[in-house]
Amino acid sequence: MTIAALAAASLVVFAYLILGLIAIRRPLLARVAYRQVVRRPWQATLMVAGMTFGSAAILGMATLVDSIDGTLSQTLLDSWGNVDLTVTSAGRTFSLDVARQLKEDSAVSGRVAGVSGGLDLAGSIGDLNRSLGVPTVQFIGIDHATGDALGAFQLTDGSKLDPTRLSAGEGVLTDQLAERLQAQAGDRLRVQIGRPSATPAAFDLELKGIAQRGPGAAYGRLPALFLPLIDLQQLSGIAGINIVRIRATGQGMAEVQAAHEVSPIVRQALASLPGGAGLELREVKADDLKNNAQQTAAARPLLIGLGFLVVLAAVALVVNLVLALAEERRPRLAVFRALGLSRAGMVVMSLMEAAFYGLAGSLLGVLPGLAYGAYETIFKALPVVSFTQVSAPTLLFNVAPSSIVFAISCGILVSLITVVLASLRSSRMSISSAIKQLPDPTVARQSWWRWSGIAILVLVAVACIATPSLPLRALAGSVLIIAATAALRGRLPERARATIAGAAMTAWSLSLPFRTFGDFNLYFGLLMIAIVGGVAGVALLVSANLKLLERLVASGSVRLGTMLRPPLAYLTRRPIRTALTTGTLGLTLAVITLFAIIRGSIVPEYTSVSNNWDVIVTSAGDPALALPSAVQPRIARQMAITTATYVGPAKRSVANSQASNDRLQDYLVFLVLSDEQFDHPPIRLERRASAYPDDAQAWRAVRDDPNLAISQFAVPGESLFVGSPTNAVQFKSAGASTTPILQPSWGSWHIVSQRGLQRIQATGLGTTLLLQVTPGTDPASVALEVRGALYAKGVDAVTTRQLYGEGIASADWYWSLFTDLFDAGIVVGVLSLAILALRAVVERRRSIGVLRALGYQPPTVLVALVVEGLLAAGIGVVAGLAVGLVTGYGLIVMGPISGRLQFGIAPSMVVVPAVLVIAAVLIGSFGPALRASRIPPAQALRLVD
Amino acid sequence: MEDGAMVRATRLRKLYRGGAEVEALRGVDFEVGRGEMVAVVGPSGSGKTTLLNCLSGLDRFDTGQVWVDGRDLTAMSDRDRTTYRMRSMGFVFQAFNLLPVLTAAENAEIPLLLNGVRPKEARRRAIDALETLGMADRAGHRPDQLSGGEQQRVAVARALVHNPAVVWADEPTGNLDTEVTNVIIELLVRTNRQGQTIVLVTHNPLVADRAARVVRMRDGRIDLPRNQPAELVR
Repeated sequence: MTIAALAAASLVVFAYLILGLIAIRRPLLARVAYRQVVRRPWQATLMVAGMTFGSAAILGMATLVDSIDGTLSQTLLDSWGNVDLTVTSAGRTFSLDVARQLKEDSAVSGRVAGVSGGLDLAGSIGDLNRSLGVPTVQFIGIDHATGDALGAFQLTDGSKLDPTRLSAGEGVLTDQLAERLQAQAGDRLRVQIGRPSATPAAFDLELKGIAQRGPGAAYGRLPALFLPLIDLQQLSGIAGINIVRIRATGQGMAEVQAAHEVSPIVRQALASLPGGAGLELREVKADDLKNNAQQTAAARPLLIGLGFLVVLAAVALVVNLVLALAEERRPRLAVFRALGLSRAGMVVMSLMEAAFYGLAGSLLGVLPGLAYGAYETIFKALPVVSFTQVSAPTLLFNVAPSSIVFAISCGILVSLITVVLASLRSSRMSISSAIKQLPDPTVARQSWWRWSGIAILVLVAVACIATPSLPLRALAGSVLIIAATAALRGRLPERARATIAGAAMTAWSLSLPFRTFGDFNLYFGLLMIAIVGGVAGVALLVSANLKLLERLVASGSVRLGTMLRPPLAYLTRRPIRTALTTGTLGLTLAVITLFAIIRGSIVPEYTSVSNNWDVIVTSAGDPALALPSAVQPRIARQMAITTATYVGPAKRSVANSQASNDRLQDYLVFLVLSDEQFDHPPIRLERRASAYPDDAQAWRAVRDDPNLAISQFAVPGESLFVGSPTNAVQFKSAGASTTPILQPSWGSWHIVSQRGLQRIQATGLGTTLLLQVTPGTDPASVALEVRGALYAKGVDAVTTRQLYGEGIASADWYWSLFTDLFDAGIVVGVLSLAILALRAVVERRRSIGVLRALGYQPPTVLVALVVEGLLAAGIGVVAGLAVGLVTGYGLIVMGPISGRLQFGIAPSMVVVPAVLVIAAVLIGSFGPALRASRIPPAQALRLVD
Repeated sequence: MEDGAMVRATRLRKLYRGGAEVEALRGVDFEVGRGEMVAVVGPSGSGKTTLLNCLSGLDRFDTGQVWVDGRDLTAMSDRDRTTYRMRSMGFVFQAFNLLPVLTAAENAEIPLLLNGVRPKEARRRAIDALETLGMADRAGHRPDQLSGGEQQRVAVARALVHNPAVVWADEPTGNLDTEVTNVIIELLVRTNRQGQTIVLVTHNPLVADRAARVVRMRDGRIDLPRNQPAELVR
């Protein structure tokens, strides 16, 4: 159970205990609250629906995070099989004796389940029976004598195979690699590893079986081939090993814990071995799990926070409903007040009612929340990625009990808090006026209350300013504007006051994104403040000045102006309700627009990604790969880049940031450019360190300085540490690109100079060939022909267009996680408007009766009510679009992701929901409006419903 | 229809259906002279408001006929009746029924705007009407900023501002204290003296006493006391 879930659940239990005690002492309150719930089932259903959406959104996002977390954890556990500890030497090789002596050490052997020496390399593979090849495959060499430490393979035919029973010339493939090769047991496989200063070595194996994921079984991190150590040593020309795998006792997390407990003993034993002092013992499984937990912990607040966007929409809906219900129940509540019920009693009664709604809504939200999580994880196919990602990984549906508790508790708490605040306002009434259904007379409130409130706001603002937190200081500006607006009450006409407040809030909020911050989290906080404040400001500004629209319309047509007067008046003079309704939609649309801008700006142009290369040919086994001569005439330009693979511990860290990954067993691809290639780089940079005035200088710096690299996904200032903590080689990022065309997507690539490569222990030399075909040549046919000719060398060829398309599909899947959530926010917003339209029929029944008595025709009433809904939606849409556009523009030109990004927008992400909102409001409000217009005036004017 | 009759109803019958059937009007014959002020009185449930609603075209009736200013309401469609109300009728209700989101002036000018009067002219006439009722200085206030008496004066201004043929007032002083009741009823009497036809429903004998004629209802019928003429003229 997380602390947040525990705290939320405790608060809920506490609140229900208090309410329960009050109910026992004052059963009348509980009875009336219960009757209010059951009196109007549809109304209760709508209240419950609001909270159902809110808690479902929280649970849905929490489930998504849980599922990603669970999937990654399981994948990591599977990849290590039974291996818990490893001994490595920063990618260097060492003697097999280390493993054997460690196994024989009496202190170690009694405490661990197995010790096995091995080689972990990367190379290429081709299936000679199927004529297919795959580059960059993990080759795992198993020592016959000690291989049981890995655990038995679970083969796809249902049998198990002990790794020690693999004979020379036999190998086992993981199922995802076998799928890509379409391999079957008995096939001949050709494996190849590029060796420095030697011709590439090839070796043929018989496929003994295909291993699948399973508890405790070895699987490998990449698409992998398991083969006898002796074969891999022969293939690679390496006499020793580069990894010792140690299996702890126990199963699951108990095994991880056992590994942690035994590691000091192993470390001690290692130190006493000849040559063991320079070796590093790592708790690989625990480190991977810890790193994964840190990554998901960082993502969780963002995703759950986006879930709260829907909660915010649901809150607006509930407040709207509570205010509407309070208005409807006003005469009855006034009777209670007349009979002696205090204001506090009224609030408690509302709370008891909300306790029903909150509990029901939150419990009901569990099902759709889980369904949403299941839809995103199980039913939505993950995008397929080329190169070595041979099949689409699937997410495992996973939900932590604490997520359910958190979602339910949050739903209930939000419901209770919302209702308390709303009922505090609605409980203020003139009893005699309310009983007679007359408007409450305006009472000049005691000014010391108002000034006390203003003073508190100012103090809060000053406290926020005093903190170093930029988002809090930004918030202080908004609070000061609210305080100033409250102070001006009575000193300015209401419209002028609202206009000034709206303009000030808009200007302040929308200026926030145009500040430069390197820290994305801080900047994201500012963006959220900007969006909420901006939407509120624009909505207030527009709502307060709708009168201008009426005048404009009336100057053209008296009849139209008269028709629009009531709806415009209702929108203008009920600012809280208008702001809640328009704000709900505005907020959602603003966030959608912001994400559409990020999406539109981040997605690069094809030419920028491909840099005019059409086909990429990759081999991890041949550093001197050449194209088949038959293809050459169709190639206009080509560039051959030598590649090397590093297998060992590595970590990335960003300067001045605590966000750094722990050192992990990693697989890094280094592309080594020649001096000429540095002068004519293969790709375009997307970012570069500020020290370099242009891209050419960044490239030249990497050429000249072996400590620098151009890296994938890096940010300026980031460093890559290769090797163990005591013996690490650092590469500082001079520039970066996210182009997918250079290497497989499983690992990051780094471009270095020849001298840079010499600083690390890289193996598995290969080639990446970039091809530009002649005009009129189909790149796909060239790729197919290259694959067909070079499959035996484990070469793959793919068009850059395909890689670009797969990148877009991958991004689309990622973005769809957000857009699905925003759609839920839109649904709540539209639901809110529809409910308001429904409530308007009941609440304004007498007003409609008066208008009908005075001469409003039924179609006029119909149009007026529909126009009111459309105007509210329109204001929300316009406010949302405007705020989203401005904040998005700020993010692109000034934010931490600015630089080479071009301002763009994914129009469909914005236009579709905006149009749907308008259409839904039109459809949703038509029915209630039609019903209202058909009420006979005499019936509408009757006092009692 | 006889000369001088502004409102005339014959054999008016109205049934409320829904659960038990209630006959609210049982063949009522009723007439109001042009420029007359008639008070309809009677106990609760006697059919006063129903009669007023049927006469003013706010409600439908089952049988019978209603003429207002020579126009047969029975033959009119809902649309025509609405238009007729807009042009020729004014209403004052017990609960004032001002639109809460509009100011006094905006409430008062609604009938004028509905009748196509230009906004500036409508506002001028609405302010004039409010001024007549001593409410000009409250023209910019919304109903929640006005007292009950002030709200009802705005309602009276709204009823009179477009010079309707008939003003219908349903318990116009039901929510007011005696002092304010006197003010409102004085306003109505003064208006009536200027030739305005007024039909009002009331429980208040003091108010009924100020009408030119009082009609009593009981159990959906006009109550004719023994040895009394059909019309009680004061």
